[in-house]
Amino acid sequence: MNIKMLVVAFQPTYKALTLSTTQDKDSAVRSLVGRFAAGNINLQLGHFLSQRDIDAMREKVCKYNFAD
Amino acid sequence: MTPAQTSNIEAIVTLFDAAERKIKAVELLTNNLSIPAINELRYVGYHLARACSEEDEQEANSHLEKAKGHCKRAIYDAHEIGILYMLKHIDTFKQEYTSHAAFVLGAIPSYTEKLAQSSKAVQFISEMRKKHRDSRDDYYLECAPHYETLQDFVGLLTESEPLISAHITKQIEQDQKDTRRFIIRTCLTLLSIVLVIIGGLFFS
Repeated sequence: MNIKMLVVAFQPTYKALTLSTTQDKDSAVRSLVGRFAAGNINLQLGHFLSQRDIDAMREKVCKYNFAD
Repeated sequence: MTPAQTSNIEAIVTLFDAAERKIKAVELLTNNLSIPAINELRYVGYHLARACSEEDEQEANSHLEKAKGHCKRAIYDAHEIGILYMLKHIDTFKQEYTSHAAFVLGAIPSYTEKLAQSSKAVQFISEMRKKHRDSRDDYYLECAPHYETLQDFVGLLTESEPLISAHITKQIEQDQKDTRRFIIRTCLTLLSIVLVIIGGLFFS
């Protein structure tokens, strides 16, 4: 039996998704939430703010200087 | 249920309603659903259920107070997200039009004053982050004026942006025209000098 042919036949078209960076993980989480969310269009689109997102936004905004 | 508890529940309903409306308004403003604010409302439900099932009056009152606190936190969180989003918008605008201050001031005379108010909002957020993160329910009324001021300012910026852009485009066109005129004038001057020199050589 030619195993090599079987391996080629069952080889996935795309390689398994590797979540190496934080951004990859974040987008995977968002797409997962979007897949299972119902009743809210923003959630379905993966548009939501987690505590971590808000903390990062706050950190950035606190450095703003409108005085100069 | 005692009359005091009934009035407490009525207060919670009013606060819950305000929180819900603000969360929706901020969701429409930012196109993002705020999970922490909704999480606070989840706790309100939990404490209300516990208060209703509690036989001990003191314990029920304590749950009602906690529910009220979570409502206030939800209101604060919703306002805060709106404030953060609008400050980001203002900063982007400021960076983009920093070299065209004259046009901006022409379109929005109160621009500097509004920027000073935005600075106060930054200061408020910064202070809350450092000192009162866990007692933010006590400050839920203080964030509303900042939110409204910034909302007015962002509205003003959005309305004035096309006008400012039109002025900038007009100025760029005028600059290009002036540059073209200068180049043509210089070329003509050089050409006439060359012609005078050639004419001088020819007739001498």
